Amino acid sequence: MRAGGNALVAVCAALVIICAGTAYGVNASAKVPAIFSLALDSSSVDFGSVKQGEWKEAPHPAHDYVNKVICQTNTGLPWTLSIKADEPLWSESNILPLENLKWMTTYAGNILSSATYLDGLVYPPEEGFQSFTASNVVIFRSSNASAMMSNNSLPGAEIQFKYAIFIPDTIKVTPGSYSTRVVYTMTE
Amino acid sequence: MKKLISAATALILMGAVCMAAEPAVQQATFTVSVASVFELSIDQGFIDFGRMNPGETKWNMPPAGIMVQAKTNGGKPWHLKISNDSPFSSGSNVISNSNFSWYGWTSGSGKWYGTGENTVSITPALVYSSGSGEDNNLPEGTVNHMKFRLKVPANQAPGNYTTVVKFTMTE
Repeated sequence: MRAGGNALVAVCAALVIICAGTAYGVNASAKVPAIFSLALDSSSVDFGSVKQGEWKEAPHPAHDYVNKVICQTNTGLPWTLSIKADEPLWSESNILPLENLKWMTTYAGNILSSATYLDGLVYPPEEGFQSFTASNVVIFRSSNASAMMSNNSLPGAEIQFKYAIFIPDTIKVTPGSYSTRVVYTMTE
Repeated sequence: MKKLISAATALILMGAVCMAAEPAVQQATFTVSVASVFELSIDQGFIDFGRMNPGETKWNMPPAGIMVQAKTNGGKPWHLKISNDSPFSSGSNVISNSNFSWYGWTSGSGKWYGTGENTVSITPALVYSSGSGEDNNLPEGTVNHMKFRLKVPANQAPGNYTTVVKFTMTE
């Protein structure tokens, strides 16, 4: 899609030059690359050992969050950040339902400028933990963040997360190591 | 000229539409280790037969029975056994285990070995073997109820006699 877009822009540029054929002067140009990126500071979250009936938050000894994403864009368009889990937690043939895995956003802002984008959070911290789902859930809308400019390429918007797990003692779960993959998606 | 400019404008607009960025994606792996449970608990740890005369037998001790609860999510069959480290003794005097027996009932679906006249022994003896579905019996677990009978021999020397009864859960 992007390659096609660039080609079309190139055609447009050629046409503009034809239209301006009677003008004189020196044209200077610079190409500013489009930035639309998502970075994750930690791609592994380990709850350790959990007993049934125990509520456990993922450890975060170094910060008051477990991990964070940094969203950068200079396209000028509003964007959203979504989260989902690919599938339930698996351990060989045993399943731990996804509803037992929780997330919450604890902060959204720009660390360097100290601007906060908390109003962009769809589920602000006071709403607490939410259950993961297998379909994308929008958790941040740049259009709702009043302090955010559309171009936030440097240093970007930082969104921090905490996670928890609760395995009720009312369900039968086979002991073992369960895992799943969580996907963060930034979309215009 | 106007047509060319219009065409260029249209192409520029089309270009803008096509320039919408591809979604940016990151992934993280979440892991949790669900702990194994293999627990045995009793609701009371002291049984007092009280004062007994030589030749007397007391049944139904304790009157409400001892509740022995076994919990596991290990996924394997398990067994409950009973034993005591030594017979009732008071100093050098002993009431042999042949005078001390257990009985009771189970709320589980497995096999209950209490025939009514099971003497307590130093060697662990089967009380219960898990049944269907009890290899993971969380959260309630399996509850067995135990009662004891003690006969004091007619020629038994006086004294305060004690013994320690052990329940053992094994896979």
